[in-house]
Amino acid sequence: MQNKEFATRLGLEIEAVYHVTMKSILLLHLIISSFSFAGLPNASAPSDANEIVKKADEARYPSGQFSFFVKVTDTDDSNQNETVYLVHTKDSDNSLVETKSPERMRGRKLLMKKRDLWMFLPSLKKPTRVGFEQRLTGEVSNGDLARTNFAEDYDAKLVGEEKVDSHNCYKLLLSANHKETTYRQIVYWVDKSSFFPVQVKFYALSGKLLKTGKYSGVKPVLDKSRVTQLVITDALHKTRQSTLNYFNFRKANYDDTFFSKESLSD
Amino acid sequence: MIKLGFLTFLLMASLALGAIVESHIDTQSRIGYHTVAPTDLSSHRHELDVNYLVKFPNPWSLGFGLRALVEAAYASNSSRYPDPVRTRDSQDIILRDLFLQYKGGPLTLKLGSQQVVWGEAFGFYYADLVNPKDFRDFGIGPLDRNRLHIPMINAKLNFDDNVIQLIYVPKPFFNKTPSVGSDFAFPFSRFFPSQDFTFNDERTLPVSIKNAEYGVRLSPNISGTDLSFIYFNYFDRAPVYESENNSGSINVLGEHLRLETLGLTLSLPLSTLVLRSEILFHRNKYFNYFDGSLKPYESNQWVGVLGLDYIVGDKWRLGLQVSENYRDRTVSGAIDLQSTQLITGHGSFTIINSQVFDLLYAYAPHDGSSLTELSYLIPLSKRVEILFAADLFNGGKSSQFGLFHPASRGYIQLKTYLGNETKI
Repeated sequence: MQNKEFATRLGLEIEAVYHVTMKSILLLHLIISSFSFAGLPNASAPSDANEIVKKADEARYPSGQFSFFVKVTDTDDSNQNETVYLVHTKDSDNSLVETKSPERMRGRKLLMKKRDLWMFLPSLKKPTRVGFEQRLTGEVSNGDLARTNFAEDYDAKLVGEEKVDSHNCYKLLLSANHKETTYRQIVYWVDKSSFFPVQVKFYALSGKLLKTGKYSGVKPVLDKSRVTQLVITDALHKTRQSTLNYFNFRKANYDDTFFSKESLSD
Repeated sequence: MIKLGFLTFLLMASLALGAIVESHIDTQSRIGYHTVAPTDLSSHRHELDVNYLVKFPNPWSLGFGLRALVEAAYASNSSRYPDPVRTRDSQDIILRDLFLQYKGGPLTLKLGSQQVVWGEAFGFYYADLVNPKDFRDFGIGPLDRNRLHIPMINAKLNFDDNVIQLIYVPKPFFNKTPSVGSDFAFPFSRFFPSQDFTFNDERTLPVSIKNAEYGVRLSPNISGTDLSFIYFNYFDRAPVYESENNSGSINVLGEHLRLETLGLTLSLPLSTLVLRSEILFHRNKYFNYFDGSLKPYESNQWVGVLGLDYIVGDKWRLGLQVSENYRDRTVSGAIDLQSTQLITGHGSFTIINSQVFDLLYAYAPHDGSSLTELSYLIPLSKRVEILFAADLFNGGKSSQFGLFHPASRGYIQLKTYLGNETKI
């Protein structure tokens, strides 16, 4: 009887699993990747290009333990989808992303511990391992979200200075320092005075431009001003955009077991 | 008594102060028709799921859930569905969560009606032994919906992601099996043609020490691999049948007998692939044979499952899974083959606007039968989605899937999700 029952359930559960958008995985990496830098942006002169990149990373997220919401709005021609996530994070190694909206996707969770990833679907009621490499699939609508941890994954080189949207910027060329990055190269513009990131371009391994991103929405976030919006546009299909708005940051104090795989189903 | 009630109320109110209440209210309506003549109504079902989780501002939380369903197809299609189906399966109210949970430090203790899920493989979780299932509709639907919550004590100790879990079930509960005459019923008429028979299936056993069930799971944290060793001493969730001829009338009883299961499950990410595997050994499990009457015989059983999942971007997902059941003993007249296999391929394709096309094909090499499932999901809003689906069974009349060929069907399902999160 087991086999008879197996196949039907298999299909429905696979369906449920696969309805989890990779966006949450990629989003998680985006978030995690930016937490490993202590300190805050300041106007002191950077010692080198890598230091600029670090300071730009610090302009996005605080350090330590905290939670916040991200509203991701995807637009493609006349279509628009909106998803809201609640993100819990502890240092750079532990993060938990909960889908809060739309309601039909609520309760889905993604846990990252170092290089391990699990997702939890209410329809399964159990954590399911996700391959770490799946973050690197480079899908055009999401891939750019995954690899903004530039300081850890890329070696930077200052290639000039340019004015972008009235900002006097450092222009940096970032080259991947290991093979697990999504992009071979990134061109990154960072405001010279505030070290806020301003613009970014992502290039595929083939050298093709995939995406451009623009940072904005500087607001006080916990102890400092930080960018709170990222608009990403597909290089090929200009009408495809993803807008990430970060809000409601809160300090937190998580128990060690909060980020355990077992806790996903409790 | 009034004072005690008042004090309890005060205690609960004080505990609840600052609590977060998560509510989920889902509705699901489905209408379906058979795709094989006679193409009559197969399902006209409405379901309501209500779930609450109260998270107190301390290590305690409280869960409550209830499902109510009405299936109108059986009553409106009396020419196809005989009385046992109409009376037994036309409506149901099912208690789901009703638990109190303590979570502090490495200890998680959950008492009451709940689900415990073991295993790593997709689809039918062979290691998913603990909760009984509702198979009245062939188990179609997310497994969470088909699992029947049961009361138990569930304790977990978590040390750096090395987990020891102990469970104790004081009162066994069993699968809900399809009623005689329903689309997915056990084919008793094959064994007792033109004979009247009655069928009774145990649904539970009384609370007692000898009926208690217990199990343990050890899940060590080994870098990059999820491993679990499981042991469960329990009563088989599926029935084994025993029949007796009573003055020309056949009485069939579905019994549930004790067995032990040892298992090893793992999942391992391999670049863009994830490998999942389960190996189970069922000791002293009972199966059926027929020698003029249905009788049980005992055998050990091995179950192996191996699957690979492959994801292409965030739009396409593909998977392949093979499984085998093998009994180390069989008898003349055994109803099932000593060894059976299943090869399953599946794909999920996001088309546009989060619309998802899913395809599953399961093939049973030992008898050449197959099951094809197709579905197309269209989100209509943040809270509403519609599903067009078909389940097609093919193969010989007595084959694994061909047996249910007349039950092949297509259906439309509308689901709504309501919910809220409130801080008291």
